[in-house]
Amino acid sequence: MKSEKNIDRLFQEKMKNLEAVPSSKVWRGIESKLQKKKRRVLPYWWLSGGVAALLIISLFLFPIINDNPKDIIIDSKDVITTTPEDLVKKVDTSKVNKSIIPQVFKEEESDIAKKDLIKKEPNVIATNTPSFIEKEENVIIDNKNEDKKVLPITEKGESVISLNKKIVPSNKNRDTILKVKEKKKTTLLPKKDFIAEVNKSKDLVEEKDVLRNWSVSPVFAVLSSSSFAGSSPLASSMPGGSTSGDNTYSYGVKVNYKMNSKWTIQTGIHVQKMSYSTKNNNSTELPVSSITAINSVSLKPSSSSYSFNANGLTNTSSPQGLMVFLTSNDAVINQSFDYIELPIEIKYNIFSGKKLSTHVVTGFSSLFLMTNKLSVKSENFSQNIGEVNNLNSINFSGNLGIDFDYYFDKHWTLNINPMIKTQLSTFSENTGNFKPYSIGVYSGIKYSF
Amino acid sequence: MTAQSQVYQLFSDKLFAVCLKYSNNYEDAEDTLQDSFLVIFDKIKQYKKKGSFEGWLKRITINTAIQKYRNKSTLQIVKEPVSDEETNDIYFEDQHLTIDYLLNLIQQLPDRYRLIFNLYVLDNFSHKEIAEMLNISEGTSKSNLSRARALLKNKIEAYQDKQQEA
Repeated sequence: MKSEKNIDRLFQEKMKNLEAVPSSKVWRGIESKLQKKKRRVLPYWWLSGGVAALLIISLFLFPIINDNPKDIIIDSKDVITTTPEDLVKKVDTSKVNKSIIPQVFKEEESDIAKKDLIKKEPNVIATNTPSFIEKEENVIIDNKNEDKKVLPITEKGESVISLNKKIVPSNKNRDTILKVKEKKKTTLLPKKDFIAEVNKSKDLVEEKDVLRNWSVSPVFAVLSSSSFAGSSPLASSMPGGSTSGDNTYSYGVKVNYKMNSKWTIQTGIHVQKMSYSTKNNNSTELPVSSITAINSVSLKPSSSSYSFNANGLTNTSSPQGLMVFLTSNDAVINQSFDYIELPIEIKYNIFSGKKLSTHVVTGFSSLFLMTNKLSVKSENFSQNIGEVNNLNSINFSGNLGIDFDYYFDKHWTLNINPMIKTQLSTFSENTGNFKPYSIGVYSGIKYSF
Repeated sequence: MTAQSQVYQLFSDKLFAVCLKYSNNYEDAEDTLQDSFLVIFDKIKQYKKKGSFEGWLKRITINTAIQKYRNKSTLQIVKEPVSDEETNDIYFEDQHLTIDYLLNLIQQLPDRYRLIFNLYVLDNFSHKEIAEMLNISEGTSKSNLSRARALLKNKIEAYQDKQQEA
């Protein structure tokens, strides 16, 4: 029987139970993309914090890691001391050949009797490697006895090896000399190796002296807080308000890792203080409590008794009724925020002399908000009145500066580092284009190791 | 990850079938399946437990497939009016028509014909819904469907003729 079906039904029937197994690469693709996505979820300040932490940890681990190059140097010595006796002798003679023999022949040139020379040579060498040279002594003495012609030839030779080469043709029948020749031949290779080894280990030692990769310095900086827009949200909410940055400071520890002669990574931990003062330039008295109108400020109840104008600060609830603290025009509302700063910076060497080197520094810092304080201040009075609540607890800054190093000696360096640090996300809202930055000169004494 | 791989193991075969129907080759189908699961895992919290989970998964897969060809189809198919009745009374002997062969036929259809045929005939969407999904008019949907049916019909007839000759 042939069943006839409408084309739609044909496809519907056939496709109804269609299932197909996709290849395993599909799931692998999904899996890897899911993992990537998960990784991306990590906030990026983790990265900077993480790198800083890593550098600090590696600093503590450094003494352990640092032991290794020393071990290598010791190893090369060990090789020499643990080799079989005759090898040691070969090596030693090669050393002796190089250092002592030329001297001997110089003396020879200055009309010293040839007999004396030959006696002298064994003597000199004998003090270094008695057992081996004894044999040589015998051989050479034999030479003297058997064939006096040998000696004039050796006069021109510059090493024992050439000496032997010249001796041998004239003493072909003598077994002892042939033996010596063989022995000398074998010393050729170890000699080269040994010298190379010595040079290598010298290089290693030298390299170690030159590359002082790590350095630590306590730093202190005088900062000038400022901003790209003239007035803070606080000031713009007051008639006649204006904001200016104050001089503050920063202190902490810097850690440098020199990757090569040009590039250095720098991190550390600093306490950074930022401070801005808002003035009332009008003579109209402005009650401090009125700034609660901005929702980014939360004030303590006690603050309501203060008011200020261009002439000073008054406390209306003082026992005297109206009390003027100061008549000079320095009454301000001060906004101060302190951060723990974790910088990650890279330094590029642009000049390096004997005593001085200069780097360009750039990087960014993660700033973790520690203190957030709003206070009324005049010349001799300060009262905490609350805090600003639009500050981000985590902030970032882009850093740029120049770094000058003045070397006292191998270990100690004076470091002067003017920096400009532009904050990127100080406020969460109501910023009013107020972008704080700080200019500071960081200075410290650096210890390299 | 295990929950996600379980979802994948349970539904990948059925959803891959959907991808095969809506794609024009095997590689594209795999791509679509991968993209669909990424969307599914991303939006799984949005599943409101209304209707079947499988239906929800299938709907996401279909949308992903459509998205793919909507982005792709810079070549718009020219609107060609074909009368509706023409194709409805075609009958076939299906003995030699295997799933693989029919799937192949679907995949060979031009992109939009294939999407409309799948949506209307195999997944029971109305022309109105299709028009919205593909951002075309209902009329276009209807006429494209007829063209799709006609193309399929011609191919199957040619295939059957060949078989009878053989």
